[in-house]
Amino acid sequence: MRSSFRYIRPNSLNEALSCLAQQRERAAVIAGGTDLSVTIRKGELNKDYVVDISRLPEAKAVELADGALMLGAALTFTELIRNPLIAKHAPVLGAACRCIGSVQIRNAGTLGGNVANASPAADSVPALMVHNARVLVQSLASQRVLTLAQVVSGPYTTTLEPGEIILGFLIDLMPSTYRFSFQRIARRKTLSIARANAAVLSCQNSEGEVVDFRLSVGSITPRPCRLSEAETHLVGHIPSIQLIKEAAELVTREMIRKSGVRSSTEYKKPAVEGLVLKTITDVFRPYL
Amino acid sequence: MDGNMLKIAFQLNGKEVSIEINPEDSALMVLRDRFHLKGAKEGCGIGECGACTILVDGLAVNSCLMLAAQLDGRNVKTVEGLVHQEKMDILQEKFIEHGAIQCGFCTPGMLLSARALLDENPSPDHDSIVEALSGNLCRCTGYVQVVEAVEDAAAERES
Repeated sequence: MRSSFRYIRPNSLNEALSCLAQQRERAAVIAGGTDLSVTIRKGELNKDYVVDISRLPEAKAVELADGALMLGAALTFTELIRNPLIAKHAPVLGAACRCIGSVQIRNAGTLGGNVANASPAADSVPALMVHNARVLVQSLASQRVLTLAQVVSGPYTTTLEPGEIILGFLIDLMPSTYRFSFQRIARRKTLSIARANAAVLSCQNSEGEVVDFRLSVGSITPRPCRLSEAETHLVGHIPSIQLIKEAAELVTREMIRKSGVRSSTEYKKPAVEGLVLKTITDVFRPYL
Repeated sequence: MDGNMLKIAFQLNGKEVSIEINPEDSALMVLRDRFHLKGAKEGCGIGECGACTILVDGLAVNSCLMLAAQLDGRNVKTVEGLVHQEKMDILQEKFIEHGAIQCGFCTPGMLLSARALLDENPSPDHDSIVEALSGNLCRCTGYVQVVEAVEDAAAERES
């Protein structure tokens, strides 16, 4: 039996926040519904109200302001993929969104929903991490600006308080001199949950030395993370296959330190090393 | 059921409709059980097979993953809406011609995914067709005939 609830679609952001402030933990938020519908179908949503924020203009906005890109949480993956501002300023996010689900899922699923659902395998998350995304968390009384790691506290759990929604994301504009790659491992290309996914954003100076290197790998740790040891390993050097291999090993060492040795480690260690090797190599290909 | 019933109004295959629904009803349930449009199917029920694909404001979505409440104010097309003045859509003709149908369970979803593609890109290349259909699983045809049918439909419209 499907879960039952009352459905509310507020006409304004203020109305939505007031409603959530009133109902608090009795309310769930829906946008695209691609995750929540599965919970509803199983009869596992124990909420009195479902509040639909998918049509709020504030949550659909794409704006350039003060050197940052503001992306509304209710933008669908398709809307993100097609937006020229994202192609220009946040291309890793665009690449990640193209890998999500299927056409049908991308036409409905939203960026805010992908983060709020807090799956360790969420494809948008490593991309948001290398773009230094901040999360705009809004309630009737206040606004908080948090990092992704502050919002996603573990698999399928967030630090969002009752009454709060993710309103949007702030992303640093990527300078045009940066190079990037997003890669994933999954059973098939479409409609598969990533076994691991990796995002790289990097910049080199005129001598070919790496001056900025950002790496995030999804599905390997309980919370979103940047692999700082691997990052530092490359900064200040001219990239070589040897350095990249060492960086990939640093990634799996950090994975085991944070997630422990699990039944999947025998597969995951070489698989993640291979994925990281492939992603970093992709970025530095012209220099290797 | 009770005072929780919700009234929604939307455009369905070109006609304005309105109906009272339960808030938890999926779009698929309402289309099939209330409007008796049996083209969209429930295959997996969790958005993995595409048999329930419909077009909402011209975009292909899984109707099993959408609340019927979210159809309110939208323009909805199901496979039944592909027929114009008793004439089949070119895609339907080509699916038949190419043997792109065996059991037929996936066909309505395939047709709508293909229709959304052609409406946006009238002359798609092979890869675009494969990508547009990759959210629709078919366990009979092996996809080759389906892709050929869409290619042929696109070519015919061009000529």
